[in-house]
Amino acid sequence: MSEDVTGLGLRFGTVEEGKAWVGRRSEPKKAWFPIDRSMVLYYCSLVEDRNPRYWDGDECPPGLLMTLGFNPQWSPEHLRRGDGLFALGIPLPGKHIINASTTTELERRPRIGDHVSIEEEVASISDEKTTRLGTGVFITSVTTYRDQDGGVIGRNTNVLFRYNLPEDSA
Amino acid sequence: MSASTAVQGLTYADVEVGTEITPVSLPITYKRVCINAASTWDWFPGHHDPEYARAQGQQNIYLSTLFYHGFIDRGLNDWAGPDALIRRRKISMIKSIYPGQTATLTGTVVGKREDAGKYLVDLELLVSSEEGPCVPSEATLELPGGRS
Repeated sequence: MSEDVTGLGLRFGTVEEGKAWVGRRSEPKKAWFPIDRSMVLYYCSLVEDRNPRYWDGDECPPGLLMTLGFNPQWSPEHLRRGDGLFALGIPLPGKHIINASTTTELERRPRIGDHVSIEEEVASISDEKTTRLGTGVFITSVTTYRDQDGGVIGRNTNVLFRYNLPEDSA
Repeated sequence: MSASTAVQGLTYADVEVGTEITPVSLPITYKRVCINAASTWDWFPGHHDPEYARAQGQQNIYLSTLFYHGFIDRGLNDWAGPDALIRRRKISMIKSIYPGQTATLTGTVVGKREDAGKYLVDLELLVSSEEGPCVPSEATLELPGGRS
């Protein structure tokens, strides 16, 4: 039907096939690494965040939680996992994606050393809509981030627009 | 974090509805967009491949969701101090920000409330560029109730 030009593991299908995924929940996925200081300080340098809780303490900016769900860009074959972002595996027509909104609710401050598990649930998939970018559907998913003891650190409700440009369907 | 228990930054009593946060601006260079991808592991090609970004309907490579998370949180903690805890943050990306532009965060306190012993402040926020509003946002901060 189409090819994944994003390299992120998009699967393709009809809107009806995609909507059948509403309510599905991923298996808990352990982040590849515990949160470490280099991740924290590099992220702080991106936005020039001088917060001493990050530079002198052991806390992690909550904005980094989403990073923990990403896999390395390459890994040896015997370590490869088929657990990319759950929402991208929903079979749908669009070959492009762009994030529309994210709501983060934090139960506690993430910390260096937290080895986070990520669980994603498909909350809703809209009917097809046309925006200035193209025609596609809005995928709403809820991701829960838990620490190594099962305690909830936070949740993200993410809305992703998956779409085709007008010329894609020509 | 430190031996001192003194509050660092604003307390609930310091903030009134209508108070504006201290604006923050960052120049968005190609380098910063590259750091965005590298520091967040977000290698979606729209954030590092100009050809893909244009094929996607964008002007150029653009900042990612994770940049806005960090930029907004930095602005809030710059203003309210490191003891302010961001309990909730919602961002809506209506226009992208590209290399060569400036990202600016502004915001206003729109509410104060006590909830289950927590002192909460609600804010309306906006990240804009030279092209106007890009990421209208909102946040709820938990502030210390008073100076210890």
